[in-house]
Amino acid sequence: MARKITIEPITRVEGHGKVTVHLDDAHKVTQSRFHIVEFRGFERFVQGRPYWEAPVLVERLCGICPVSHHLAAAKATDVIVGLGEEGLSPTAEKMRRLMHYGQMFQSHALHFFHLASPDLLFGADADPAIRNVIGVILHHRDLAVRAVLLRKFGQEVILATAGKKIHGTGAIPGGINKNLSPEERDSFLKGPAPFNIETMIQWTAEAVEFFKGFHKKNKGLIDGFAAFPSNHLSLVRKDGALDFYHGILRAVDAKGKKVLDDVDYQAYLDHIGEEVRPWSYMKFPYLRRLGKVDGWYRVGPLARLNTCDFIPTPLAQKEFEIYKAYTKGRPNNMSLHTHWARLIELLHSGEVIRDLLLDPDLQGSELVRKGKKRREGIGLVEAPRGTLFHHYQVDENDQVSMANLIVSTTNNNEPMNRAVDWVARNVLDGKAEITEGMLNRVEIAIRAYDPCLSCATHAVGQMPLEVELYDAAGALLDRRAR
Amino acid sequence: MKTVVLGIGNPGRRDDGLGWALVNEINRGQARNSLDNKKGGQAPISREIGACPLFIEWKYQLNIEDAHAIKDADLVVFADAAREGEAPATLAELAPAAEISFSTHALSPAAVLALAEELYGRAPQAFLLAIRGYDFDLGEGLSPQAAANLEAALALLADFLASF
Repeated sequence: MARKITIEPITRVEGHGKVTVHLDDAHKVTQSRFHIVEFRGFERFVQGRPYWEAPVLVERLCGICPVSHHLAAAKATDVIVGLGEEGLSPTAEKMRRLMHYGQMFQSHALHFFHLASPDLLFGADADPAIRNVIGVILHHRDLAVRAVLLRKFGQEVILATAGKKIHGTGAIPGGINKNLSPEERDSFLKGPAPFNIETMIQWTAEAVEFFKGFHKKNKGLIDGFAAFPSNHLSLVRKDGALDFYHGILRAVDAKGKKVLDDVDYQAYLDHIGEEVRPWSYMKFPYLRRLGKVDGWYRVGPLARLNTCDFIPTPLAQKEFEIYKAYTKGRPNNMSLHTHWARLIELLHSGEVIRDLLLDPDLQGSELVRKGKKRREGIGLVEAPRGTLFHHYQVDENDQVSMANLIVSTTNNNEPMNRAVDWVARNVLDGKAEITEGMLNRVEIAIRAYDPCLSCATHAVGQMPLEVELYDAAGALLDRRAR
Repeated sequence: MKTVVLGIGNPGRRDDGLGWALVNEINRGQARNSLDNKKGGQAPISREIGACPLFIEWKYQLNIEDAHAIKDADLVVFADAAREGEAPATLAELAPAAEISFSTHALSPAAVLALAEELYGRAPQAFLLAIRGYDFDLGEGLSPQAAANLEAALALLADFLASF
């Protein structure tokens, strides 16, 4: 049978990113903005539903990081069911951690190999026909094969801990509904090569080496592109260690001074504000202590390696020391170093998964703990793209009466705008038209943060990007879309 | 013959869940068939699709690992909701095609086929079953028109697989 290419009429509900750049009469950039076009309040989807449904309902926010939403909501409901000082049982906590680090592993692997590596390998001026994952396969086949298997490994970890690939029900208020069987454990520890954790760790270590090698040859691009000072926010473990699942809130400024530390996230509203700007559907979070103008911050891999004091696994710690030495211990404010930080986190996730698999607590039988019920709960996790806030209030019928979610992409709203502005002023400035190379650079700046427009707009789907150039009178000069 | 049906979409966005709904129906039908076969009865035909069991998957969106999932298939059907196009549903053959992607959040069926071809040396024959939807707002359940289109899509798929 003859084959034909069919593109239409496949559709998804679309989130949509748009960049607008305004020029003066001399074509100098006067203003640039990154807009999220579609916004629908997901919170109302949860309102009126029993609180124990929230961890499953919120998985529908995002097909890429449903586990992060699942766990943030579960942590909030832990508080509602009255989990006390003693916290989750060791089995429940470690199962959730395994799920979460499996999620981090698959997401980070996907981002690096699918998004970052084409840009790095082929450069911003490369033909878009090869500057994609297929191009990576054609030129670096091993990288691409590994990408698929690394992601698949992380997803199998999620399946074993959440119970399902999609709409997992692993985490429930106060605990978890299954432990890890010895057979499941051994499939990850002793699976036939390459599908075992030791091979996965080795591959991630090699990915870090790959990046460092590339960086050595391309310092101008990696260090200078969209670099700007900012505050950085994340959870860290009480002792300052990198921790994706639980901890206290910490923020540092561009010079490393702690502007927030040892903050219990149940009090996040005392410290984080959300500014509404008339031109954007997405809010702009800020640190109240520093105010709306100066209090904006970055979240995600770059921020986490700026806020934490150390990484509690040996291979990742060694790489962290090299990474920190590059900026002489000071915070790293270079947007494209996010890729380096992400790979160190990928390596760390592999090491944590291995350590957890070796822990007999995963075969324990105490799955759930509860206490005196409360009417309000807040859950935070470090999702792959950054800090994720879930906040719920419930009424006397156990139904959710208020929900507030601050997703990673919303936290990174201002930084993404700053990154786009950097490109506008350094690449688009003085021009009256948008070239393919310019569009590529706008993409590279935004991709470093890998915005989940689905999460941020609360829709699921493809995310086309438009760049529009306006003259001083507000007339459209040029438009390019991808 | 190994046939894979991937239902794509988000059931939390009304008609965007058409792909899932189709796979749910296949799953229910196969479960009933299996039960009836165990009892020695006749397999019900209302949801019986194809002579062979189908490998089914529920997907929010496609991604790189789906190339691995389909690499050994003889036939793949991507079932998805369509915001435009003919109602109730259309079935069209796909060819592998590389694409530029702005985000990690989704791949097109054609890109998944291209990945399979490049990574594993072959892309299975593949079709897109596009089922027309109308309401993509937050909420659960299909609109009445979409539910009717689902029935028609199931019949279309059954006829197609029977003749394949």
